[in-house]
Amino acid sequence: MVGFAVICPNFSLSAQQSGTFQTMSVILMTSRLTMATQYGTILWYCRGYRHAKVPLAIMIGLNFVAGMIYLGLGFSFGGGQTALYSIWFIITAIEVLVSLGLSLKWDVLSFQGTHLASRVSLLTFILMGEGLGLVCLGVVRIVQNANSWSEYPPPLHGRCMY
Amino acid sequence: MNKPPPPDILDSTQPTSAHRTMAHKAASIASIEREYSALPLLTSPLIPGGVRGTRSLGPTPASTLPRQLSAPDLEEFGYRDDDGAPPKDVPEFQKHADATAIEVFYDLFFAANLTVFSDVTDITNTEKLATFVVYFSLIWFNWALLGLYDVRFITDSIFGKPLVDRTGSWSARG
Repeated sequence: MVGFAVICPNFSLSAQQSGTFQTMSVILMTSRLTMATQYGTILWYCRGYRHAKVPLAIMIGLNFVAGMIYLGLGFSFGGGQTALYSIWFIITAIEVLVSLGLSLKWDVLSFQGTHLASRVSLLTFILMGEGLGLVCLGVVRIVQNANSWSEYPPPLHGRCMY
Repeated sequence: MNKPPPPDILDSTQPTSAHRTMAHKAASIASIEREYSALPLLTSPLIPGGVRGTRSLGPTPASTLPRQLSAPDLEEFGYRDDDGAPPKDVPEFQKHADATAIEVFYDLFFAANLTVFSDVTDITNTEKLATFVVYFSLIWFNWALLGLYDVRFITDSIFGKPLVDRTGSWSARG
């Protein structure tokens, strides 16, 4: 996640830097490979169960293939403006859909009884909290520079503050 | 269904009351030891015992232990949900009633990323808005894929802990 923070200052669709997009691709690949390892450990613990092996193996394969695609995509950001980043979304969407589909089909991957809804609502709350902080910051800035709305030309300190 | 042998504590429950208190004491000591022992490298996400019907909501297996001691074996009454058929050969995982602390910590990383991104880029035109949407959906889908794993299989182990930064670079692990 810190890797994402490294990227964000230079992440721009209109002025693409190939290095930034390559880093993003490699980070996504790392994530998927780690997830494949994770599912591998689960497969190891479920090795005694007949009905658990196939879906977990499919999940490992899915994550591994996605990681390899991200790696290959990383090499294709040569420079200039491309729309290649949209492939990220295609792959990710396929991943999510396949994961959900597998969880419907097999009991091992089922979400029944898990706290998925509480996870999503918690994230929403945290994001709303961050957004409220930004809104309050904007209000404070407006109040601090109240004169700049009514006077023309605006006073110097009003322009400098922002 | 290959049923693993029950733990030793359950074997030592004898009809005499002295034995029973001994067993309870042993159980509580075992649970304390399990709670305060060193963090293992890898922990199984399966419910200990693996018996269908003992559905636990607590985060640690220690909290299910007294219930297993006192509750009757529900398997003797048959299976209500699938027409009396014995369960399929499917493992039972630990279920968490609420988000664990490590997951919430990961959510904070997500929020911090978003805040940093909106700090460095002021959204003033359509291209920047598109950039923001792309960035947000990338990290959100990443979070979602990880969350789908976490809600099912997360464990309290060393291998489970650095998962906070498993989507990021290895340098975040320090």
